[in-house]
Amino acid sequence: MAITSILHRISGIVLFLGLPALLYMLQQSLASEASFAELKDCLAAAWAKVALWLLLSAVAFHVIAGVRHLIMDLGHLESKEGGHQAASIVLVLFAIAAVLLGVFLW
Amino acid sequence: MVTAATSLGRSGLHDWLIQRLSAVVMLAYVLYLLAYLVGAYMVQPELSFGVWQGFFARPLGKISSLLVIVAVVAHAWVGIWTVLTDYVKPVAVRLVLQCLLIVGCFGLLFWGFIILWGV
Repeated sequence: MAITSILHRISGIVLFLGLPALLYMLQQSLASEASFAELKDCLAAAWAKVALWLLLSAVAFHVIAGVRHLIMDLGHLESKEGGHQAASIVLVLFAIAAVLLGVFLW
Repeated sequence: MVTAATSLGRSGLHDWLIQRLSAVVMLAYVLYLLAYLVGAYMVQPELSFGVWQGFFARPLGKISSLLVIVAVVAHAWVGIWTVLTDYVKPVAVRLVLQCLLIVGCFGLLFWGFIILWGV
């Protein structure tokens, strides 16, 4: 379905724009034990959790939808029916991943 | 052509391959990191600095992380280049944005290296 295709694109743009934030968090998490603890405190705030959840969900969606693209590159799921089914599976797997990320963060 | 001048691979087929190769590298890395984190979670649910830093400090973790930074930047270059080519039609604006993209990608690459190198 077209929706997974456009969401793949949008999640990719979001991730590119979010890269500086992700790298900054990586930097703070690895610099020292103190900066790690400080980052953890920052990420305890509700808005920060929501932002991180959105970013990680974008990662999850981009990865899952990307795997679908790779499978299609190998010549599978190219029929209309197969494509629909695959798109539904992508959305279901993404929903599960997003819930798991939420459980992990909260 | 201006479009070919700012693409990473200089040709659609080259870009296509770079995008797939970097995707597979990142996919393997995500699974590797997830396996490590789930394994650590089984032992102790609260993620400690030692466990987190340990992943990036060991040779396999460090090398694969450096590799994945390269993959992320290459993937972003090809992906965002495609999006800009699709949606930004005025050539001058597109050229400027794509040049900014290239500079930004190199900047992110070096930043990633700086973060990971000394871990």
